[in-house]
This record gives sequence, C-alpha cells and structure tokens, in this order.
Amino acid sequence: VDNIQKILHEIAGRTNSSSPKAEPRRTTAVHLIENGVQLEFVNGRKQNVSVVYQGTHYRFVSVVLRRGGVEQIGREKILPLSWLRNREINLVAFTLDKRGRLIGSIEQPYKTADPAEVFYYLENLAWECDQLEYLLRGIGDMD
Amino acid sequence: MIQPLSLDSARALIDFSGGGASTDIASEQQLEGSLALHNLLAKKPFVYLADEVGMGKTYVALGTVALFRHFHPHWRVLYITPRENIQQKWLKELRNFTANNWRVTDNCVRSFQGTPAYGISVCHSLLDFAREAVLNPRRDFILRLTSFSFGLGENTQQWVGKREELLDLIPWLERSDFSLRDKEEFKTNFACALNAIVPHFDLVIVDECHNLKHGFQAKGGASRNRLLGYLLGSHDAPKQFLHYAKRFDRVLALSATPLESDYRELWNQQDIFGYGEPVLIDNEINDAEKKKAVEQFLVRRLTQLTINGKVHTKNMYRREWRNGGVSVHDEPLRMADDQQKLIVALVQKKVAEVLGSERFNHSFQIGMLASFESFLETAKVKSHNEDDSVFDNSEQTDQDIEREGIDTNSVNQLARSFQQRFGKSLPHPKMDAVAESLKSSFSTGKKSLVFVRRVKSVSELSEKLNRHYDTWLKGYLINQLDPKLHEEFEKAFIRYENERKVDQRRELIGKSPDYDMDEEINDLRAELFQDKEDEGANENFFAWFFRGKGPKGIFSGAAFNRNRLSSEGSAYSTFFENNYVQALLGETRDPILVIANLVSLSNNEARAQLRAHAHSLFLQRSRQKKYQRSPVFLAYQEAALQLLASQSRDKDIKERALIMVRERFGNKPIIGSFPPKDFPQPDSSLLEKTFFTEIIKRPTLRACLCPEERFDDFTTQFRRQEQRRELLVAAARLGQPFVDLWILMVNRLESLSAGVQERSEYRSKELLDDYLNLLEQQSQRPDEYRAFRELNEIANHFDLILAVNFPTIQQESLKKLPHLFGRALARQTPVGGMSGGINKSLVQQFRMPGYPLILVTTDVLQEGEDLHTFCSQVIHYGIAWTPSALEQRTGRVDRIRSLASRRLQQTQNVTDDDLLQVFYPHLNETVERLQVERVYERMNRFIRLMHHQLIGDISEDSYVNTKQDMIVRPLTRDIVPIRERLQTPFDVKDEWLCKDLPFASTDAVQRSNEAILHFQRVVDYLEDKFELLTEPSSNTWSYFVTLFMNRSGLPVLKGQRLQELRHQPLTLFLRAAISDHGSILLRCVSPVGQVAWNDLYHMERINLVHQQIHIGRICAISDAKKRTYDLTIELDMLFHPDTTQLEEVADLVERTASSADRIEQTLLGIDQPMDKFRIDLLEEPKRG
Repeated sequence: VDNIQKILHEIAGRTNSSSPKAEPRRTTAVHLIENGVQLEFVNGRKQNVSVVYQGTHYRFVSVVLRRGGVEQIGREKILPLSWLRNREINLVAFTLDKRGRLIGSIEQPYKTADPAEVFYYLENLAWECDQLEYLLRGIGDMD
Repeated sequence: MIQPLSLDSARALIDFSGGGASTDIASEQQLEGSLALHNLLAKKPFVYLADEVGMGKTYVALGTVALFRHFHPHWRVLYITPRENIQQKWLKELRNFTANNWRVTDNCVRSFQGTPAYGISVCHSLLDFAREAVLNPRRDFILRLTSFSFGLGENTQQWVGKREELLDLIPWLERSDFSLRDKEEFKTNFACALNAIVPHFDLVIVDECHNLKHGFQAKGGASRNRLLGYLLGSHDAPKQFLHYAKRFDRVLALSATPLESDYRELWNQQDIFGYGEPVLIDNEINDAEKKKAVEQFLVRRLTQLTINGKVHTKNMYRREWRNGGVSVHDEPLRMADDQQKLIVALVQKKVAEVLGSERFNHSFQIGMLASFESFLETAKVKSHNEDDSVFDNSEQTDQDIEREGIDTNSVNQLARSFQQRFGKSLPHPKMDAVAESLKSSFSTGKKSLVFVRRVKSVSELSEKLNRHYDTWLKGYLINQLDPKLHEEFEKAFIRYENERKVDQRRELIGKSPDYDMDEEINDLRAELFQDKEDEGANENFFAWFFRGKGPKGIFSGAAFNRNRLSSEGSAYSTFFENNYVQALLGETRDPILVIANLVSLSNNEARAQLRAHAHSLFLQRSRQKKYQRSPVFLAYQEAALQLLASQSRDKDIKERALIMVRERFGNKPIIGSFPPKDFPQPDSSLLEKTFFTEIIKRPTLRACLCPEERFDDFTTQFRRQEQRRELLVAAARLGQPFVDLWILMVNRLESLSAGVQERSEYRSKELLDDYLNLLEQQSQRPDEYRAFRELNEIANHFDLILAVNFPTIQQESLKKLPHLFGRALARQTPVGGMSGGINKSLVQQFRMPGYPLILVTTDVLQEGEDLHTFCSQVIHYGIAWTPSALEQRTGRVDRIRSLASRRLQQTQNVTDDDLLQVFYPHLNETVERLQVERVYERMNRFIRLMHHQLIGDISEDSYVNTKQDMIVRPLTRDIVPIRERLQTPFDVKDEWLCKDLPFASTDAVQRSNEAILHFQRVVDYLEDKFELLTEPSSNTWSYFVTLFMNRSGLPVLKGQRLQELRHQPLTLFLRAAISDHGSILLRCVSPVGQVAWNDLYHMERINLVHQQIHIGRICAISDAKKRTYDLTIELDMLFHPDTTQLEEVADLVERTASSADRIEQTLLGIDQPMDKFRIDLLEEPKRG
C-alpha cells in the first residue's frame, strides 16, 4: 500500500507528466486528491481516479456515470454496452457497481507496481472513462 | 510532426513483391509511390494518387498508411470506398498487405499473428459506423459511399425511425434538431449531429474519389457529397450543433480518372474536405498554370509493358474494336440477312420518330436507348431500390422517362407485334453477333467480360449464350460417349429441354409485367449469401446434369459425384484422398511391417495398436454402425501417423509424421479402444491407391498438375502440397474437368441408367488408371480446353490464385480447405450474369481458370473487383457515357500480372490477337454510331488531357443530339484510337523520395522479438506451476490451455491430486497496445458462455457475482443471428521483458480462470470443456 502511495506522490510531483512513450500525450497534470489522483488532459477535462486496495491487489476506479445518469439511460442498455465496450478496448473494465454507478477500473498486484506502469494504467483508465462519459452525456470532447 | 522518410527506410519495411502480387518493376514503382505519398502528406493536407487502372493503387495507399503507422502507431485511418464489395476488397487487401508485404513484426502494423495490429471495422451504414465508434473509436473504419446517400421516402415515419435510432445511440442529442419539414434538411442535420461521435482521423482515404467530382454544395447538389462533408466536419454546419468539429487532418484521394474535362472537377473533390485550391477554379489562370499546381499534389504513373524490347503504354497494348464488329478487327458489325436489315430499319424509324418528337428534341442519353441492346420486351420494373432500374447507373439522368429508356415503349410494341405475327422473338443483330462470336469460348476456354447498360440484357444475353453452350456441350458429349450410350443420352437431353421449357413458361406466367423486382433480387441475394447446398439448376445442361442432385433415374454427373465420389461407403470415396502413410514411408507391400520396425513393436503389436487407435478415431469421425470405407481409411491414416509421431525411432520420420498429423488431423490425445472383430484390418487402408498415390508414378503429368513442393521447412512444404491437392480436387469435381471423368465412367459402365454402377465390375483402381491415361493424352494437346488444360492452368498459377482468391489460406487449418475450396468452386456455370448486387463466388470463379467463361454484368463490377487473372477481353455491349466509367470497366482486366501482360511478355512474336481486346459492338448506320462516336471522342480527349495538355473545352453533356451530330460527323471528330506512346506529366518527383535522408527506424521490432522470448519463459513457468492441458495450436506468441480448477475455484497446482475437477479453457497471448508507441500487452481470455440479448435477469446476476469478486472484465461478443452475447472474462497487463515478472503472469492467469469459472457456474451451472470453445478461442489472438 505504501508503495502505491509513494508512486502516486511521485507521479503527482511531475509536471506535464505522461508516460514517456505515450503518443499523443494527453495528460498535462496529475493532482493528488483524497483516495487517489486527478488527471488533467490537454483538452482541459479532468478525471478523478480513486485507489481501492483488495488484498494483494490495488484497483484504480473512476466513475463514468452516477446512479441517476445510469437510470436515465437504463441499466438494460448500460450493462450490455459496458460489456461490449470492454471487449473492444484494452485494460479497462467497465461495470455497474453496487451503488448503481457505471465505473471503469483496472486491477494490478501492488507488489510489482512501478511508476511508469502505474501512470500508464491511470492515464488509460481516466481517458477511457472520460471518453465514455462524453458518449453517454455529451460532456467533454471526442478523441 | 510527421518526418519525411528516405527510400531506404521505406524499403526496409515494405516488400511489394511479396505474396506474388507484383512484378519487380511494378513493386519498385509501388514502393516509390507509397513513399512519395507519405512524404507529400507530411506537408500537404490533400494528396491525389491517380495511377492508371490496375497498377495497384490500393497497395500503394496501404504502404503509405503502414509507413505512417510504423512511426506513429496511434494513427487512425478512415477508408471511404464506393460500395460494399470494395469495402470487403480493402479489408482483404489490408490483410494481404500486412501478411505478405510488410516485412517486420513491429506490433504497430503487423501483429505477432501476422494480422493487422490495429482493429478494423467495416461499417454497413452511417448508424452502424456510429455504433461501432461508440464501442471503440480507436481503430480504423471502412465506410462505403452509398451509406451517405441513404434513401428516405416521402413518409416521415421513416425519418422518425432514423432519428430515434440516432437518439438511442447518442442520448444527449436534441430531438428538436431534426425537423421533419424538409428531407434534405433532415439529412443534413442527421450528418451534423452524427459528427459529434466521429473519432478524429489522422488520414482519410477516399477510393475512386472521382465519384465526388460534383463537389460540395450546402444546399442542392449531391446530398451524398454534402453528408460526407458534414459528417467529417469539413464545412461549417448550417446551424449550431453541439461538439460539431472537423474530424480529420489529411486526405489521400485515389482514382485512375481524377478528372475528365476540367480542373474544376479536382477542386470540387478537394472542396468536399475543405481543401479546394483556388487556382483550380480561377478563370484568369490558364490551364498550364493549373496543371503546374496539380503537379504539386497529384501522382500519376502509367502502365508500361516491354514487348519485344519496345515499351508499350496502355493504349498501345490494347486493341480497340471501334468500328463495331466483333469477328474481324476494324470491320463493322454485319447484319446476317435481309430480314435483320429490315427489322433494324424498322426500329430505327420508330426510334427516329420518338427522338423527333418535341419532347426529346432529337436527343437521348448515351447508353440509355433500350433498342441498342435488345429488341425484346423490356418489363417495366416496379422497384423501390435506386439501384434497380432499366439501366445501370441511372444517376446519369434525373428524368424518369430517360431512366426507363425513351424508346422502350416503341420497341415493346414492335416486339409484341412480331411475336404475335411470327411466333418468335424479334432478332437483334448486335446481340446475335456478340453471342455468336462468344460461343467459341466454350471450346477454347477463353474468358470474356461483357458489360451491358440495360439490366434485362444480362439475362437475355446469358440465355442466348446458354443455348449456344448447350449445343456445344451436347456435341462434345456425343462425340466422346460410346455410341451405345447415344440413345439414352439423347433422351436425357430431350428431358432436360422439356424441363427447361416448362420452367421458363412457369416463370413467364408467374411474372406480370409489373412484378416486384425488389422481392426477386432480395430472394436472389438471400440465396447468394447463404451457404445452401447446390440443388442444381436448368439454366444449361451442365447445371442440370452435372451439378446438385441431378435428374432422377439417370447415372448423371451429379449422381456420380454425389453417390460415388462423396458417399463415404463407396469404393470411389477415397479416389481423391491422399495416402499420407505411403507419402511418408514410400510405397511398400507391407506398410504394417515397416511401421512395426520403426516403432520397435512386433508386427502383431503394431497391428493391434493401430486397430485400437483407429477404431477410437473412427468412432469420433462417424456415427454409422457400418464401417464405411472413407472414415475407416482416414482413421487408419491418422492412427498410423500418430503412432509414428509418438514412437518412431527414425527422427526424420517422427518429425514429419508429427507435422502431418498436426496439420492434417489436429493433435488429439491417443485413446485406445477395444475394436470389435468386424472392424476392418489396417492393410487395405494403408495400401489404398488414390489419384495422388498413382500420379506420383507419372512424374511428367505430376509436374503439370500437382508439382512437388520443396521447402526447407516441412510444415510449409506439407501444407502447400495439401493446399494444391485440395484445390485440384475441388476443380476436378466441381467444374468442367468433371465432365471428362464422368465420360470415362459411363463409357466403361455402358449405360446411363441409375444403379448401373452397382452391377458393374468396373472399379476405382481402373478408373484411376483410365483417368490418368486420359489426362496424359490431353496433355499432348494443351490447346484443347479439356480437363487437363484447366487443372494444369490452376497448377501453373497456384500462387496467383491463392493471392487473389484465398489470401488467408496460410492461416487456415487444412481441415477447412475442402469446405473453403468447395464453397468457392460450387455452382459453376459456363455463363454468369450479374446485376443489382455482387455474386461473390461468381467473381471468385471468374478469377480462376474454368467456368464461368463469360461474365455478363452491369456496372456492379465496374469498380473494385479484379478480374484480370485469366481474362483479357472486355466487351462494352452497352456503352457507358463517361471515359472514366469505360476505363474503370476495361481496367477490370488490365492490371498488374493480368493474363494479357503475362502473355505479351512471354510471347516472342506478338500478334494483334495477343493484345488486350476491347470491343464496342454497335451497328453502323444507326443512331447508335452517333453515340459511340461521342464516347470515342471523349475518350480521346480524356487521354490528351491527362497525358499531354488540355485541348479546348469539352462538353459535359451526356446527351447525343441526332440532328446536330449527323450534320457535323465525321470530319471534325477525333475518334480513332490514339496509338503513340503516352507520357505522364504527374510522375513521382525525385525530391519526394528524399533519397538523402538518413535511415529511420524504431526499436519496435527488437521489442517484439524480446517479448516473444520472454513469453516462452512465461509459458514454461506456467507449465511448471499448474496442472494443465496444453493445446497443440499453441505457438510462440499465443498459448491455449485448459486449467483444472479445484473445489475452491482455484487452479490446481502442479502435483496436487486431480479429483472432481472443473475445467477452465483459456488463451494467453501477446498483442499490441496500439494507442501507445510499441507497448505490448499480455491478454488472458477465458470463455464463460452465452446470454440472450434480452435476458436482463441473467445479466444482472452475472454483474452481481462480478461485483463480489471484482476480478477481470466481463466482455461480450454480439451474435446477431442467435441474438445472444458470447461472454468471456479478460484481463490485460503491460508486458515487458525487463519488468514483467513470471508470478505476475501466473497471477493474471489464475484470476482470469477463477473469475470465468465462477461466472460460468452462476450463468449455466455446468462445466464446459475446451471442445466447446476451441474454435472461437483459437481466433482470439487474431483480433486486431
């Protein structure tokens, strides 16, 4: 757990940080927030990612739609859509959580985590969630 | 920032000669083209590739895309193609290019699996595009232009339906944005709204971009072009739309005919994307200046063939028949007799009367007079589909009367009157002459492509040709059959003719003049796309007698194929099989003894093991109680190969047997059984003589029909040999060569009555000898179009055939080949007809030797389909009005490695007959001559414009004015083919090749290689850690395995006891993480089961379980046929040899399997083994 916290601090300490090989570079800043980080993108959008610890693994979680948003569209549409989208994209798992929210998550063992890898996962998760939010709510911008 | 590349850098990545698609000169030209376009696009937003038809523009463009993607893996490309068949063609070529022409596995362009490393979605409508973009915008999309002209009827309910579908996809759109007041406004708003979810594309490729030459107009004009412009956001939206934006950076346009009469057409195409260069429409600037401007962004190279040391451009190696005749070059079409002359004169009078009326003012649309093509009655077609009208390309005019053909009524009246008075159809000299000249194809095997304009001409001309074919085939059969059989055969033929006439009458009665063609075409399409068993047909004698079930009570070709060659119990069922054991060990009198020696068993022990194993394999293969010949033969072949593969002392034989059994049968666990006494002994199966064991003894014949493959790698060698064998078998059984085999059989049987074979002593071995003798005899007369010729041509051009028709063959399991080739070559017919939609198998067959020899088609085959491999003759029976359309049509047979180019480059003394023949059949002294002269003139002007300089203004008018044209002809007309060598002003400039730039490369290939090495360490670790069953299909980048799961839902560790276990199949493989530069992901996929689309109850239950375990992601694959989702659990991780630890991967595998197993229990309450999922799971790593 300490290791992950340390890594998050390290990532947040960078300015204009991004995974070195990522192209195009999307993230302009990473801020520490309660239970996680906030990523800021080139288009000005921000996305929060929280960290959940599960035994030997950590799980990064980011919210796409709150319960009200999910119900407005309908769980019967959101559930298959999230599974179909999971099939198409890398790394991120979209699902409806116990609170009825549509969330995206990535899980990894924390024992082997390193900063570059963690940032890679954070950026992918935050960006994917932001994109899905755009498609479902029209807020933000298309990649 | 895009950096230009040097030629050396590009050459290190692309090999255009790979896959046998290009010659050396052509491949260098293609490489230069790809690089030039890359470097041009690095600095210009709109670039045009206008190479002549057939030079491989698609490949050049794919090379450009690949160069970009190698250095910028996140790039996204949108392909816009004219229509559906061309979408499929792009997908096919993309896969071919990736597999055969891209040199490196970089995980940017080519994945570990040899497939494209990025996802590709082929979309069938704009809404489909939107749906796919919502699921995953980070991939390439292939759209078709016809999707942009979506038809909306006058009924606004239809519009409402479209609107609701869109709102369903994009729930935050405003319903009020879609006013139902005006159709065009509705379409515009639809495109603007859809723009909000169009991903950003780095490059848009527009194939056949000349289709957009009418440009963009915010109001009026072509709605298709307007919608395209708005969808991509290249022009300001007519009103405020949330998130409306430009969605692309640059455009690569492709067309061999980028303009026809004016540089404005080029500007129009640019302007759709907002890139119109003002100079091109500036009236103050002369054409020379405009041409200079065009030279900066347009590349056009010319096809050149060196024949007898002299360079020929396209116009030189084509022989155009511009005087109308079809039998003697430069001669006009002759009318057969006075009756024909009288009829033509009468029709001319009628046509003149129609044209002379005030309404038409002596004018008609080129190609749109029915009488030019037929004097048969043209049914008035009631159709709701824009594609289904009297003529193809009905967009040429917006006048309904012209779309139906202004002379249709007059010709119909004459046709009816003639039929009533003389009891036969009105003869048409042009149709009769063309059919007469084409009938020689049946004895020469020469292929012809015939384009018509009038849709009904397809069936009329086909019908005429089929009657000629019947006459020819009947003569051939009578000539070859034993005279004792003639009487029976004549009776069969009369029966066929009667059945055909009855069916024709039925068809006529069934169709009122106003029948609904939509319905018929839909039925036809349904048939084409379903893999229905061939029932035979009576369109010609071949279809009736040799295909499908065949006529009852006769030992027909169909009966021979179905009841003998295909029947598992028949003595002929192994006729075309391969005796693999003999191929491996050589011919021997006692194969069991040889096997016993090799595996260190006694003869009896070897026999017993073979029987036990073969019996078990037989039970897997057949449910029959009777031990039928073919499954027993195959069971023994497999059993013997397995025994040798597992126990042979001879290392080489062991290795080869292992490869043979794996590739041909698939590895299966060896399970013995207790064979009953009556299970056949192995001897006869291992000694079985087949076509392939016997042809080896005739090396000359073998070299002609299935030459021996020699490769260092035995897997490749064996696979190639089997591919050759299966293709030869499909051709020999399903096409014209089968006629000769049947003749041999019935001549020996001496009867055509059903059941005669059972009473005969004639056996398979004798037929084998007879057949091989016959093929040897025929090989002495290679000019005759008989079985040998066709099979020999297939053997000689095997690689070319695979490249054009079966590009994915290297990835296919050998077990699938009979189905693949059988399906491709089924339902052969000597004359094929096509209109309304593409018949894919007919097109595929036309690209091979054999039937169809003649393909009659409307403009559906004008673009996209390559038909050049075995055809060098095109007949413009109905003439298209634009030079570009004519060029596109001729271009179908004039391409790299075409039959004509192969012949011309191989022949020492080339004659005019060796050239590519282009016919324009027409009757002189009729108004049709005026039409073709107008077209010739335009063709010449097009050539002068593209190759020299623009001459004068060219009329954009598709009308022929009979009065005016009669007066000015022929002195002022430029209608003789241009014969001098052409020069292009738009060649690739040296500066675009950046020869001086340093070599550029990335470390992507090295990283891929390192990843593969590390993956092997991972696999070894997993095998040490878990109890598992590895699948033989595993390879260096993908691993297929069944994990055993204990009661706690965890994988059983190595050495733990295996009791009451559940199975969890999964695959672990490497894939590219395309959005990032060269990153590699490791993905683990484990299948779960299915859930119905509307089964929310189970979906919620699965979600609940997943909420509890929180492991992996639930993934769904939609199956539209079954209306179900196939569910899997998947987990990814970044994979890097330096940082990825072996325990991390084991953890990934364990978690995926546990999660999938648990959800499977929830969903189904059962345990499904690998067998249930194997086929789908093997496909997983191939996903882009």
